[in-house]
Amino acid sequence: MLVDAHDLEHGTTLTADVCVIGAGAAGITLARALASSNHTVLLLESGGFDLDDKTQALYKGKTVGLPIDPVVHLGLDAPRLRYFGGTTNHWSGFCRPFPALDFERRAYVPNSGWPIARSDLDSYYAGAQDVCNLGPYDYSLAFWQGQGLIDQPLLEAPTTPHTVVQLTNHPVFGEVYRAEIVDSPNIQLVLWANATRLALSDDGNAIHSIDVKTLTGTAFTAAASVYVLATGGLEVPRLLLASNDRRPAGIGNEHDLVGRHFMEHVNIAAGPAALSVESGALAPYVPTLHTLDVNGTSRDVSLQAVLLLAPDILRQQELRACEVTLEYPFAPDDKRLEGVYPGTRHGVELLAAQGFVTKTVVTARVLCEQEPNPASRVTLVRARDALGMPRIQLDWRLTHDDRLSLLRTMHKLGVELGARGLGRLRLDISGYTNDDPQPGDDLDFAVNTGSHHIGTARMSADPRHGVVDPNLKVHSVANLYVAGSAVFPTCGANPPTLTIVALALRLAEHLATVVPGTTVVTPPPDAPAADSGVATTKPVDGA
Amino acid sequence: MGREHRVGRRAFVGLLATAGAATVGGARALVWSLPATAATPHATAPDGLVLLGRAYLHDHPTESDANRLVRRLPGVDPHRRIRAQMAALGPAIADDFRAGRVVTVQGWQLAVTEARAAAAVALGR
Repeated sequence: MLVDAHDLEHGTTLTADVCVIGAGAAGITLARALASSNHTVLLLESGGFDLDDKTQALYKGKTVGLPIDPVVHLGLDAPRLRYFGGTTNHWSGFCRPFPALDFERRAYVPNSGWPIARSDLDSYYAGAQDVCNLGPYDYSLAFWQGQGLIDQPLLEAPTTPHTVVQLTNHPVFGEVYRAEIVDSPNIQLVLWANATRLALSDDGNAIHSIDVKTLTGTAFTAAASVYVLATGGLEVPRLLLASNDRRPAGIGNEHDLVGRHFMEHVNIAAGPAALSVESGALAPYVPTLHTLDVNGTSRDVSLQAVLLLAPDILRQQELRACEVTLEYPFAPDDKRLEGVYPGTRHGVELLAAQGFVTKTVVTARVLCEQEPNPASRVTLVRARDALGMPRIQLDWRLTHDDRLSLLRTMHKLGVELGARGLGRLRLDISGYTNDDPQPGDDLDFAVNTGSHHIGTARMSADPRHGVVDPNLKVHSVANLYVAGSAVFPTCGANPPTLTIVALALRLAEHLATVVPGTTVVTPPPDAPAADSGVATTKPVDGA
Repeated sequence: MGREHRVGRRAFVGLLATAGAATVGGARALVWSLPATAATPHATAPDGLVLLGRAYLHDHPTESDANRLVRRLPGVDPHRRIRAQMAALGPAIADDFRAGRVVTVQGWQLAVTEARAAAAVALGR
């Protein structure tokens, strides 16, 4: 059921079993799953079905420290999209699960360790494959080679194993699930609805309701048994911190953790690699589209091999997680090469003097994990948006060990190429000569990001170390949950969306056990569709 | 520390190497130790072997003694031109990579042996 918030009367109260704030990958997944278990869902979306400049401007904020995207200096409103479907509206569709090591506490990565293991997520990852329109839940190189769909990657070896990335051909949740959401009798999708305050109950231990506003001035209330924030890693802390009328530090912030530990994926073009192989040998590193038969359903999925370092190497050398790809092959005599990578010919000539024929020059791209750093954080500033909400300031920081790990990973890649007689790598960043990278080195200016905003409401079994518990419930609030990458304790070197969806499925299953029975039953196919009921079905239970 | 610094360092070294007119630190000594033909600006740009060799010497000025440098190259005949013997260094270069004896020269991750060989060539050997 679709509601345009502009049409609501001022002061209206909308109710449901569960109120989900944000209709992106997490919110849509959660709403669908809850609706299928006969729970009513109020799904609040700030935007409409298309980009709206005024709504998108609500995302504007201030960056200090590292710019969020140093390459092009985009603002905080650029990496995210604030309309139905959320940031999946410009998602490129890369998916792979977090490796088991990423869930472990690693002594050399401060604040690492999830309160759940990879095995706890496996069944939900399998479900997320369907949600994301992917192939079978198998990311091993051996499996896909066995299918004849991917060749042996150039650098495959025990120390540098590869995994497969699956790219969905249907990444925009707002398109894929729009009709289902709108037609669902259990979901009330409210467009143009901006949550502006979480209102605590009289005893202060639960959320009583949510204040919601449109940009045109309509104010109304959302009330439910349970509330889920699914607004992304920057807006989740914003709303928690801004809801400070009863708890001055904000909701869920008893231990000063909300907004801290912000992480992005450090994504850097390390430089050119002169290789002895023809460009065709790099085919496994290029996403290639295949039509897969998944339980009788045809799905278009692209497959790509990416290089990881073996877990033993990561542990022994105390390296962060990483993902390496080889991309943009040039012939060594391509005239464009000197423009893209000036001086590449020097390395080619050095190799030629040894009788080594360079056949291809590629870009080595490294995506690297950063540590959860409490000083890397989101805070509120005095400036306010059109709704009167305080805007945010992002102070994204990398630590010295983050930089060092990135550099050592790239060194390792260069050594692997040389040791196997495949070629040489040039690192086009400073700080590499003395292994003592400093803020302001080339590295910081070469960093690109993944538009992945992670860790600002991190998960921990211990309320002193996390905002939410392993069930994603805010520790200090009885009925408030968080979905999305904000809850990730570490960021790995993975695209986060598959894990966001898997965690949303897991949360939906949990909520189905804790939220009382539903009031709306899906009508049989022949029955006339109900056009009302959801909004008034569920009185607030005094939460 | 900032953009000027980062742009400056490698670009400046490259400029020095290209012009054959190094003026800082150990590089000054390097230039004066070069044979006249190598220290004189070239009519055509020197090849990558020479450029990277010079850059290595800039970063490792204590290795600019040509005879000593050649003695550290396994299996080469000091009486023959190093450039002609580069291919014979393959096994030593592979050993270096396997053992992690790797050095960064103008960003290139090179085996120490090949970097020294390039330096020897740059010194006119």
